[in-house]
Amino acid sequence: MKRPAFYRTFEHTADLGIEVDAATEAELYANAASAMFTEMLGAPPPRGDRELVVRVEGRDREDLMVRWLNELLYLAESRGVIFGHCRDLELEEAGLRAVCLGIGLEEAALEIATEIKAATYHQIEVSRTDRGFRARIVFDL
Amino acid sequence: MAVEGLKKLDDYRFLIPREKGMRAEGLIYASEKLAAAAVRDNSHQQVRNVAHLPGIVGRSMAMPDIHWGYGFPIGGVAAMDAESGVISPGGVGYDINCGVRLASTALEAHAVSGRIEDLAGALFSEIPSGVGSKGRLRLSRKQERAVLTRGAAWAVENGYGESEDIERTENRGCMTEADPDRLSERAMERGFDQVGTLGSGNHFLEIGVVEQVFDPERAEAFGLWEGQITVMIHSGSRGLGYQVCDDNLRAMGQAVSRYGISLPDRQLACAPFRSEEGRAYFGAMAAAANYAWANRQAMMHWTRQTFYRVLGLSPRELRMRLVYDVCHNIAKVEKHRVEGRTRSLVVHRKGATRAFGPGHPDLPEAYRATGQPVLIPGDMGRYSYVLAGTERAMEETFGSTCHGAGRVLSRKAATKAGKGRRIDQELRSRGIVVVSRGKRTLYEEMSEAYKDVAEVVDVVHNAGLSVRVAKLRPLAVVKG
Repeated sequence: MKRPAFYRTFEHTADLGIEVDAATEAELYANAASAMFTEMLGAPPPRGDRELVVRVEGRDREDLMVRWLNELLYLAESRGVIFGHCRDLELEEAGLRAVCLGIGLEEAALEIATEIKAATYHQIEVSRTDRGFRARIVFDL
Repeated sequence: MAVEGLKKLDDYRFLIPREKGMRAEGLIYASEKLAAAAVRDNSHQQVRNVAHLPGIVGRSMAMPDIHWGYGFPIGGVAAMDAESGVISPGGVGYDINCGVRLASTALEAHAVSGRIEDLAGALFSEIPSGVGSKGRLRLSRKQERAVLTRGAAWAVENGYGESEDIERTENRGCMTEADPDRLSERAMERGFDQVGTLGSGNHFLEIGVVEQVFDPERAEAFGLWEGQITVMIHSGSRGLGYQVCDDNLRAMGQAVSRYGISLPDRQLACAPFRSEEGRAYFGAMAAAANYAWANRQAMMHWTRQTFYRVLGLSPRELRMRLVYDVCHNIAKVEKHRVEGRTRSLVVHRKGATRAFGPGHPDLPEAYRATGQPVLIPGDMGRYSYVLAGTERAMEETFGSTCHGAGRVLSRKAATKAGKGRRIDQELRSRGIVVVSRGKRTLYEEMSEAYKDVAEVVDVVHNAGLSVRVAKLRPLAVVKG
């Protein structure tokens, strides 16, 4: 699979780790979502036209990242919709607000290549870099 | 051969001495080879981390299938004092009551010769599997609450099994501490349509044959004999369980500082067992455990029905009986003797199996003399084992043993190694029919991705934690 340039996976015996880069903090959360769904689908998620406003709170950047990704996983399982793109994502005082764009698994005949149970707190990192921001996230498969 | 950072006590026990911050020593049950693997993937550090948890009694332990997990290592066992200690969702895992059940039959291998493909295909159709699979049952809220409260008994009462099945399920298929009110709306939403589904990844339904009996007396008590057809089911609490874990990790993450608990790893988020957060998690965890038991019970029922139909057998001719059902991701309140005194402990087993020894009152009458059946699945291309619990396990590991093979290759590495290969054909050439929804699953789950479970079983047998009773060989595997 050819992955987008903004992320890479790292080895983890039992599960999946990703390292994501972005120029801004808001973009980091959007990129992390896209990376997660790319791993789940085995290909970058198609852009859909189903809009949903998603609001998530977190104690800190790392908690917010885990909450955000798990919210999207919940929506994927419960609604069968992959919200892999954001038209607009804003960081707020205690969380984030995103206008997410989704596509139905069935309608797009998408198959899930890898089931992701949850984003975990294990060795989670959200940090500044010279070029912007970076996150490391380990997923339970 | 020395293993860095570990002190060898004997051929199967490696000690992690107590260091700053640790409230107890660590102990890894392993051969030198498996202990070295634990050091390489840093899971021995996780054994150290668990030893920081307040109220830990005895040692922070790991079984020989140890590998890296979230907070606790996979293969981790730790007990906390029920009054003064903590409970940690990381010590149970996301898939609450992921476990295994084994059923015996009256059939010899030749009785299904030439019919294995039909059986495997029919099971694949009858039992929903695969990522996000939806079940044949759509529960009302009232029914779902009944599943969460009553577990396997709900399934039997509603026609999905026989009353004898309950006797041969750990905890009789129900933790009475379950509190459905402790589940979030989100967890309830995820659970209403997944009872009776296999899931994906390393979950499976397998038709096997008893290849070898090591302990004839125990095998007879378990109803097993050489050449016999068996069925093994490996599955858990599905999306509902993952949600319960996630919800409570979040709540405990917020609570940790309030209780003055300092953690070396955020994923070890915990709360005092007697606190509101501790009670909330335990009640929800027990409910999710009951869901998993109902799940495995329903799937076994449909497996029986499928065998009757495909082979044209009556229940009396098939005699599919549950040998036992074990959990390997759970926390339970149990009484154990510690330094001459009986104590009430919260025993966390994460990728570890209960292995109560002979005479334990919690065992069904049929197994009081033998010790508990312990079911250890290997990978889909090799073999699985049936063991029995021992008194030594009661003395050393709070009645615990290993749970399976443990991965050696990441999914990415396994997929790479499998590229261009037809894993299904390779298995077929060895007499194993595999039916799977996902191609990638076959790569990720192939034998080379896992430790040899025989090595893991060797350790627990030789360490005295559980004795080998029988070895099973797969004939057909259904995977999600």
